[in-house]
Amino acid sequence: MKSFESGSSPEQIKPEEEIAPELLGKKENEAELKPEKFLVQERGVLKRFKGKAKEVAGVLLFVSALSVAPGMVSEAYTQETKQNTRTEQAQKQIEGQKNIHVGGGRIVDVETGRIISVEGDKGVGVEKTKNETTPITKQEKIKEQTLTTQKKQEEKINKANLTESSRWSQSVIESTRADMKKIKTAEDAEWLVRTYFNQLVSEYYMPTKGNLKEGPYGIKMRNYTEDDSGLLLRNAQEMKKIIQELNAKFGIEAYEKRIEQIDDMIMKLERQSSYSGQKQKEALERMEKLLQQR
Amino acid sequence: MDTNFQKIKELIQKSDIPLSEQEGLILLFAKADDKDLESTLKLFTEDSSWIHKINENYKAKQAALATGNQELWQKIVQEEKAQLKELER
Repeated sequence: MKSFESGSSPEQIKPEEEIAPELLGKKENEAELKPEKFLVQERGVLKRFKGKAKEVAGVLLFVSALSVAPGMVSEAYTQETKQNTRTEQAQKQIEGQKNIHVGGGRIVDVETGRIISVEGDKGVGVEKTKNETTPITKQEKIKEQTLTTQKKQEEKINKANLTESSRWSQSVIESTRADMKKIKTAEDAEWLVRTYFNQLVSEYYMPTKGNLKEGPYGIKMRNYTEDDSGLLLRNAQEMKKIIQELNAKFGIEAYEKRIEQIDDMIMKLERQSSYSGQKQKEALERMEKLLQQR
Repeated sequence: MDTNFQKIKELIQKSDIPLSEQEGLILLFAKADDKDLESTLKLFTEDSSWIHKINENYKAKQAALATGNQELWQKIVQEEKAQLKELER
């Protein structure tokens, strides 16, 4: 029993052990994913192909390796041992962006290719050694910008336009906040992350609630209003802050991986909730309707 | 001279995948060494429908990895296998 579990817990949220495995997408004993095994499994199946299919298989494996960890690309893809496949040069080529998130809470200046910020990082990876130039002023500036963006989002969200596609995230974050006050040990912190962080990420990537339709690979896809995206974004940003705080106090397992996940979620939601993203979505929907009418 | 990454980026930007997803895919390839991108560039140049297919594949893999869902991963691999078998015909 966790030190605070006997206390009151918001009713709308079930602790992880009560959530259906299909919602969490894993069994209890599979606490941490072993992506290397996934890659080995995929390579085992795809290596048998020849000709054009072999070329495509190579790209599919490459995508997997990049998705898991850039450092594993060569090993997984060509079965050779090479390191440092991430190229700062390539990152610089993303035009029109001053900084990009490259995972693990790292932000790269695209002009210099230097990592300018490692947000709340405690679990140090190989790439952390690059963090020799982290001007505090820049970090503060980024934090300030994030706070301003959040304030603007809060003002912008129209509750009347919220649907089930985002409301679930509000109850997750409220429960996280409530239980956050009761965290006393590293075990408690781990429990909180496993319960609420996992729920937020799982429900985002593999939706079970809201306005759903089936997409490729049998994955459910969800429709969002602009306000849904805004609310989800705000809640994802808050969850990120919470796990950064927990990591600073207690240390969180697989912290870098978790930050990478939430950063990816935040990035996608930022685009979804942006004006251009929404306008593009509306244009696509109009086009779809026109095609259906023909 | 344009790098492989630059060319891939342009192909993705010209594609019909949503803006938010374009960025995710571009950032994925930004993690790679430029020379490792040759096969991807070749595939995307020869048949642009692969941009969409690879994007869907990437999104599904991300969902499986983010949720630790081995079952979904297996499903993805099986679908990849079916796609490749189709190419061999």
